[in-house]
Amino acid sequence: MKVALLLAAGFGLLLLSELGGVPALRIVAVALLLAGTIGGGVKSGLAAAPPALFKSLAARFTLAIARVIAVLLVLPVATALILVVGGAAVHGADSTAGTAAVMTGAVIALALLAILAAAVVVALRALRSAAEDPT
Amino acid sequence: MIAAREILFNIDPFSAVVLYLLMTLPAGFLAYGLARRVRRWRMGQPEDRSDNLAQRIIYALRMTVLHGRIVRPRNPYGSVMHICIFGGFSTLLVGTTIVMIESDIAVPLFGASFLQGGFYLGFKLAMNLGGLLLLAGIAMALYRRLVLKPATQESSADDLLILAWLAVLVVQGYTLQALRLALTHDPWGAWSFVSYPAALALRGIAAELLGRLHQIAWWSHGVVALALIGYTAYSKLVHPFTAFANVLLRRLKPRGELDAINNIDTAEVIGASNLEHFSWAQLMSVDACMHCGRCLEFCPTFNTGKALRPRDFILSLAGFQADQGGVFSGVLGEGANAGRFKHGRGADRELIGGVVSKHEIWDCTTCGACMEQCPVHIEHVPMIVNLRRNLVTEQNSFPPEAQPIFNSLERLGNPYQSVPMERAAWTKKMDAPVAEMKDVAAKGETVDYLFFVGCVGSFVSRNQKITIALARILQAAGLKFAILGKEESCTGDPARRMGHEFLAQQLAMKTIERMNHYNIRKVVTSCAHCFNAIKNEYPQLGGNYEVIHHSQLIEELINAKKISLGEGAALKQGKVTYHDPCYLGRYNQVFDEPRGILAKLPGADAVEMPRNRAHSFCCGGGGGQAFMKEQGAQRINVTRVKEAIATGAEVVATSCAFCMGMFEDGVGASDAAKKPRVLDLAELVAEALEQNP
Ligand code: SF4
Ligand code: SF4
Repeated sequence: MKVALLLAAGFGLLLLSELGGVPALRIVAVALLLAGTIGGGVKSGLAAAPPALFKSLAARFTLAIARVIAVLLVLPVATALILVVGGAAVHGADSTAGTAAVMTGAVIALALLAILAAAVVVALRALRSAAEDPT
Repeated sequence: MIAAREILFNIDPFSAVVLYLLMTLPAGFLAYGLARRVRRWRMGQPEDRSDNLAQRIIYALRMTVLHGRIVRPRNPYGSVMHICIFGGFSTLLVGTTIVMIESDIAVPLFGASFLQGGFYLGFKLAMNLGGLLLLAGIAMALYRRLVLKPATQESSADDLLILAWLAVLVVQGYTLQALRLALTHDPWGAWSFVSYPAALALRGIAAELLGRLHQIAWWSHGVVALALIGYTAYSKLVHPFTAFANVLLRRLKPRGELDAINNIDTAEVIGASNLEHFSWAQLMSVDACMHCGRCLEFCPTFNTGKALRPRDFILSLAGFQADQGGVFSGVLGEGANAGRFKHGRGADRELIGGVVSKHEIWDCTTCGACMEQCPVHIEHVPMIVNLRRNLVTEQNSFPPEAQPIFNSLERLGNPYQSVPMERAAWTKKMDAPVAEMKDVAAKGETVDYLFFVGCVGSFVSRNQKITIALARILQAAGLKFAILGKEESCTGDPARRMGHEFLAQQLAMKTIERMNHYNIRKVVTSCAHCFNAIKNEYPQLGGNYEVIHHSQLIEELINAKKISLGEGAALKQGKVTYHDPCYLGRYNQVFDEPRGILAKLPGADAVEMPRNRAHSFCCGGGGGQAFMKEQGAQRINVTRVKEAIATGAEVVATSCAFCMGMFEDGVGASDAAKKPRVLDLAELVAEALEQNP
């Protein structure tokens, strides 16, 4: 009950602060929301353990969507980095910033793309091996 | 124009509401995961760890945040790697917090902005550097896990996922910044030296497209960051919380002191047969394990292929705890890691037999190398001994070789089935008589030292030579000392470490009663185990003495010129290497005095084994192993003897009764063409002794 009250009050104040133009209320709203979710978390964490079935369903659910989300979440930055490389190729020579600076940007973008690709491969492999781990 | 930036640039108020709402969710998940663990810890036995709070806090900060126990000269790679990850991550975390304080507290509440001017420019620089540092650490970690693959490290899906997750966050951060710089034409953009060049390349692209992309990337970055916070409590990422708590609330007693069972006659259960029999602090400690494998590096059982691997022992307990309603650090999906750490195999298993095998429990030599190495102060030995206590006392289950040892200790006060009357038989081989305390007391006299000979030094013929050597040294130095003779009995050390706590306490109390009766103040021992027991464990039962090991006393005597040394016969034969006994070195930090003796021995050419001092490799004799059959083909003492032989030493010096036996045995079993002699420091000194005029 207390948790619900905290969350409701926090949500109301947040609407007021962001949409009603009273930014001073934002921190109070966030504090109330945090108190609500943390309080709720602690309360249910200290209570009896959740049924094993729930745990196993949650784990399976997590794994299934984790793969999809992992890919979706990196697509925007991957696109932006490809644009950096493309931009450098198309406008690099006539850029007012200087060709060397723009080309450096392209190299950095390529490096970041490589890191991103490696990270996604490692993450997907990790998720697959977790899913396949024999019990 | 003052350098500054617009926070929540290109983000509409509605998105801000959703973000703030979302932000609270992972906090709830984190709280839930931590609370589940705390719930389990609270089921353990009570134990007070609240003393010396200020000292605890300072130490914990020094060892964790300042990396005191993480950085190791002998592992520069791992040290640099962790500093990079920690330093980079902390910089980004603090930077994000600064932005939040600026946008959510300073500006809206006080109308004051501090994130501007020189501070803002420094902030940009630090954030870009922090990202690079983190990426460097991640690259090193991945290289170690995927390419170097050290024997002590195994990678779970969780380990790899966390590293990938962090890398994605950093790349997202840089890209997002590049998009913003490209859109705003930020005049101070160059301070963000990684993303700025990329921003320059983006300037030729339509602003609308960049704006949309910036919004989507902002959301994806936010979701990835918040999800990581939510995942923290369920992964190895929880270690900043649990490891800090464990270091903060560590046991402050000497590491060589095993806790006694108080009021043992009325205790409901002896030892541990389920998790709740451990103390809450021990239950917490298993959750603090971060799978680093450092405890394996010098573990004699791991290094000789036995069942016991201290890391897996701890993680098996952690997995079982998770099965019983807690949370396992570092598992993805139900049953993952099951093969190694037995997590997910059910809450109804027996702790002994189902979770930890009896082989694992009896393999341990109690050498303490695992505890010495563990960066977060997990104490394996007290937990292993707790399991032995239950096996011995409640289940009457122990290796068959232990039975005659227990019987002999119980009936005769020594493990060798020797009659107590024979305890002082070695004195007959002395030129000058050795006094017994009963005679000294009868004359109303006192002594400088009680020489506590110990069972090995009293009854084993090889060790009697060491006893005689030490007595000769004490006599040469003109010290007044006496022995307990037939009134002496075992200190209780082997019984205690083999889990027979009743017997251990009985034996200790008998000795304490005698020593207190004679009003003993100072005790010298030539056995590292007697030394540790009397020094660290006897105070629990009312025995408070100043205890000195013979290596310390001999060095003192040499320094004070109470004895002088000529060239001893043994040393004329060549190099000498010193083996640090676990119960003298690692448990009691006596490293320098034995080496001091060797340095002062004329003609001694001392060489070190690769594993020395706190990193010494056990001889295999502790924890009652000297009396039990070693499992597996590879023997611990033979492994250590090989290391000693590889130094080219002709003499292996030691200073512990059990080490002597294990080395003699190991040398005998070795197939080396040239076998070294094994001598105690007292023998080396006695051989080199020149009587004072
Ligand atoms: S005390 Fe020694 S033998 Fe036992 S687990 Fe630790 S390192 Fe291994
Ligand atoms: S017990 Fe300590 S040293 Fe061993 S893996 Fe766990 S944290 Fe590392």
